[in-house]
Amino acid sequence: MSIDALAAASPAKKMSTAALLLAAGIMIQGIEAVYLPPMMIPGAKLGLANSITMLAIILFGWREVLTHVALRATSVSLITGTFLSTTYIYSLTGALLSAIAMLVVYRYLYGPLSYVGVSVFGALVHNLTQLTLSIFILGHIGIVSLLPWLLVFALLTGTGNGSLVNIVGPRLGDLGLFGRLDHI
Amino acid sequence: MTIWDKLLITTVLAAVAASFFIVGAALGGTGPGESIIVKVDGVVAKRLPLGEPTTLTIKGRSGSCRIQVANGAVSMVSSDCPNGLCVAAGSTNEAGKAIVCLPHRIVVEVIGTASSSNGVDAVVR
Ligand SMILES: [Zn+2]
Repeated sequence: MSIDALAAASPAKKMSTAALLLAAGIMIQGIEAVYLPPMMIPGAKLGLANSITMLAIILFGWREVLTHVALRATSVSLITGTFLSTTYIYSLTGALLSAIAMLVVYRYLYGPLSYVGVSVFGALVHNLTQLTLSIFILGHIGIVSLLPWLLVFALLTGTGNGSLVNIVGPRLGDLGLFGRLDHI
Repeated sequence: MTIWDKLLITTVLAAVAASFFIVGAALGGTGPGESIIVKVDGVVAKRLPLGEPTTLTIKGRSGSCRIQVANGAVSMVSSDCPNGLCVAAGSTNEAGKAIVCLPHRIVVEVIGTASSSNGVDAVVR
């Protein structure tokens, strides 16, 4: 299968796969950032790019995953002109912390939990990060009143993205991606 | 989806229900306020007395909210934000409470007497 194939793959193949995932992540988050209005908070939205992060978690180790989300958040902020603004702080912090949560949950709880569980944990950590940052940046504890909504949004996006990865994840090898790269 | 996924989702749903009550109780106001402060991205954009009815449009990060002061209370009457939670929050006149539009990063705080800006100071009477 794909995961074993990638473990034994050449550096060039790993690099190109990582680049492909990064491009997909930037494209998806970029489209969300430009064409979809901010759903809950800046940087939150549908979080479809999170399903790409999960593919990275399946295929790579924690170093590559954290590099993936940091480069994605930075690239999208450069495209949308929000680099080093508060939007970038929301986006980068949320992406990194949710990726760490998903790495840990995937490592220790995947099996009992499917990708839905992994993704829900990631979305929860992401939204709680946004809430905490909002309280500090906007400067009012009353923002906590949005907590129930943030939990609901995390459930919806987490379940959605996780279901998607439940379908796509096990079929990564069927895409012919790794086989084709073999012959380059 | 596994049984543990469903258990996790059920747990979070229970947390949602609990947080509605806890947050509501924890953020209770401290009596009628006297004025409001409108902040955009944490920076004060406007100060208004609650006694004078008015409507104003505040431009936030990604759009604007229409804020109304009427009958000694403040509310967001309309907003072009996508979730509309700020409008759904209704009106309030309670010192220490706030109406928040996170997409636009607008916070409307109700302020009581000089010292009771966040409700904590006002507990001592
Ligand atoms: Zn709003």
